[in-house]
Amino acid sequence: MKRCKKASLLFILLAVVFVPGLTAVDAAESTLITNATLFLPDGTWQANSFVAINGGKIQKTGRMNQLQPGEIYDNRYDLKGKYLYPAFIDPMYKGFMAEYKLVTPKTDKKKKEEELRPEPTDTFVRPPLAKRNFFVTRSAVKRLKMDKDKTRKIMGYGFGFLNIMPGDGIIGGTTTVVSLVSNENAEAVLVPELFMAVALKPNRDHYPVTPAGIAAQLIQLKADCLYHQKIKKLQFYHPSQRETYKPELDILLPYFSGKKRFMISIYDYSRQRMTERLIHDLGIAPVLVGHPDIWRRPVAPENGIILPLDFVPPERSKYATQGEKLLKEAKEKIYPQKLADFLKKHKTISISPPRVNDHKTFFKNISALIKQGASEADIIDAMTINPAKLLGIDRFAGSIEAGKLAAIAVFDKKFNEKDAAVCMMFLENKVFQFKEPEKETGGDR
Amino acid sequence: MKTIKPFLTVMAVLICTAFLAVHPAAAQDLLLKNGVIYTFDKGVLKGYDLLVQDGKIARIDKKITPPKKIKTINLSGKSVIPGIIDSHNHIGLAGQINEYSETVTPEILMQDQLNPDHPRIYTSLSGGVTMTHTMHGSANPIGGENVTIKLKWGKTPDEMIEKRAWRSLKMALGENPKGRRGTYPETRMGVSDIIENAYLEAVDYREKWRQFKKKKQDTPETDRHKLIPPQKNYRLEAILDTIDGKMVIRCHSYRAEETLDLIRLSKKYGFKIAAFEHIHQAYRIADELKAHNIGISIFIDSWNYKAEASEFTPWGLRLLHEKGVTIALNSDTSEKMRRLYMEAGKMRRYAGMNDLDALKTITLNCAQIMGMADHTGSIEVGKDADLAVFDGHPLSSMSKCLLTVIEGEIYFDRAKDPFVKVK
Repeated sequence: MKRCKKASLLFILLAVVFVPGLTAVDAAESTLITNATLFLPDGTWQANSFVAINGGKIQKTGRMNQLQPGEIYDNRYDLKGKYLYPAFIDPMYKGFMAEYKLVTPKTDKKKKEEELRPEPTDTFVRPPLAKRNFFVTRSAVKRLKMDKDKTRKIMGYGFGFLNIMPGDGIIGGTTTVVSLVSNENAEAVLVPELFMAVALKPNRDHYPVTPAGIAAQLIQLKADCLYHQKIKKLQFYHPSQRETYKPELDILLPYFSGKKRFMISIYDYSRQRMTERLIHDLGIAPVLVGHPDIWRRPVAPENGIILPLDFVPPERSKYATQGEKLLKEAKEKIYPQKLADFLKKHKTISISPPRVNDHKTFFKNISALIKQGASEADIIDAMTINPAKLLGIDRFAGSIEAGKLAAIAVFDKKFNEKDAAVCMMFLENKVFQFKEPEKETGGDR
Repeated sequence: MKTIKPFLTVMAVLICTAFLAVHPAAAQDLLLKNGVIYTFDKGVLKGYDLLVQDGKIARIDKKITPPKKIKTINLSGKSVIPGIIDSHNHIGLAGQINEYSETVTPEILMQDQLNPDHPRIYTSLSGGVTMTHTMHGSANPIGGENVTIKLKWGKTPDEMIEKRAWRSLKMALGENPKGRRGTYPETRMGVSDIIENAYLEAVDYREKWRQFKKKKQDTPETDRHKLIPPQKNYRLEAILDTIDGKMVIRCHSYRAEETLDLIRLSKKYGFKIAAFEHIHQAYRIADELKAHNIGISIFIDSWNYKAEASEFTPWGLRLLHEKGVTIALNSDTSEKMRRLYMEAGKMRRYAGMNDLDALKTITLNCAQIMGMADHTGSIEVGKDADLAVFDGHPLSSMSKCLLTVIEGEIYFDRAKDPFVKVK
């Protein structure tokens, strides 16, 4: 009897620990989803559909009447009344990264005084790149730290893939594309190093402290990279030049020569002209991270624009400086309308939450866009196939099609409807079941 | 229904008014009739008409009959002056205006951070200002490249930037660049040394390229690819632009001795100083300024706000005016910019100027030190139609600007401004 009691207590304890709203089941080899409403790659909905999954990939999709009788699957899910979306993709997520620890050397008082009055330095010899917050050698993949709780929260909003973007520095390092299928770093990474993240946000103390200084520095950096490349070729004739080897310039060269791509965060309208100049003068085709005013003058939309979906007008704009009434109108009507028109015009745009983990505002803003005339299909594309193309993972993600990875978000109603929630996520060979959406707090992007 | 109709009419008028205020009228020809026109070559012309065609001043005459139906404004004796120019300002820049992190930063361009949404652009239009020299700050001895903009509110930065103006580089002497954050330079001598050192480096850089090119010529063609070229340096190339006359200097300075020192360096290295900014002790070196054709861009009666700004007297401007030095007024702050015409009025008292000479200090003289005198700064046939219409004497503190026109387009109209409560 005592043993029985102990066993039942252990069972209850295990149940409390392992079923906190989400259960991950290692699915068997094959799964069949039936009776669901499916979002097709052509932007239409198809009711009474099935999706057959085998080995973590979508084997086939179709209407229920096309399903052959007698096919055997390890698992079957009847999802009548549920909506199946391709798992959403966040093309710029600043998270899942271990913080860098700043090492501050111990200094005695005397040394501190000396530091206050440094020796005159040569104006034309600049400090190393990292000291100016150009972290060229960094990479999100090196700092990656997948987290079970965060993964679950993000998945609870239908996201399956993220492009993790280093958040510090003018050059933050390379971004990394991960799948939320696993909490193990090695399993999660899809593309280890993709874009070189550049933020047009000046430093506080080291050069450059002005936005214009960033442009000047990047232009000088390109010249330095080309010079360095030349010197490397000439080292055979001039052995003394071997000492001048700089690995950072080697890393940057493919980005300046167009073999790889920068990902530039613009931040506001005033920096758009500067971005245009950089694109022209450096001869690059960067992916651009936009801002609420992007509709006024889109810079090179053909290169790919990621739009953090926000309707807050810039601080010093006419909408923000001429009374509460206009500001409210701008947030609720003018900006959603302009951005809805912008999405209609540029169908390759990708959208992203306005701040890291601020998914609630994101979906609220999506509803506002649809209310202002943006098509639902365009919005879904902007969250699925468009970012997939941008990140180069459209071969296996971004839509529910045979041959692609099984990355499917199951909503109880259309995702933009009130109180819509994710009930299940199919990611490769795993099935995640949700009881209710997780609560989360927004942060700064 | 009777009560609704007037309400609807008022609403329609209000909506139209707001629309017009936010969206300036498209480029058009314009006829200003029966005004008091302040010209510098023909004096004050009372009861004259002014015809604008394609953004330029086409004709100034009595009773002009326009060749076709164009927008006509009857001024009924109101004053028409050239659009006011602020020769030194930091308006419309987003973010930090000082690249204070290093002492020599001529490679940075202030036009890169131009913010066309800056609300001060619009408020400055309400004071008749049409053009401004938007500058880098004075935190380092050699700052960045300034930008000249016309205040075309609602237009893109590219449409605002005035490409015909001289390229100008900001330098700074005195208290601002020295002793910042306990680093070199700590003295005015140090500031001078940094500027000279920059020029020495630039000359050396040019020499390296010259030697490389010569060596390349002397080397057999098969071995040329083995030569190591000098490293490209945009910072030094910007300094070389000043030596080659592609860019002029606008230098922040207060004291006479350091100003003379920079004139010495300009002669030694061959760069042109267009104007000294603030220069409180200009009256001490009036002859030198005149001899080197260097203008000054100053406040009229603002001093003693820091140690080096103590030895100033507005009466010194009389001496400078008599010596023939080009005097331009500036606001330096965007708030003061819309009241520059009142500042110019003080020149009558302190500098003993007549109305037209006083007016020149906020128009033609400013255009001169910005390299724009051939295009704007005065009401002359062929020049840009940059105009301001005042309801009274243009230098009186009792007057208000009613209309601001840039290249024929109306950018400010007090009658149509929904935010101006007193009309």
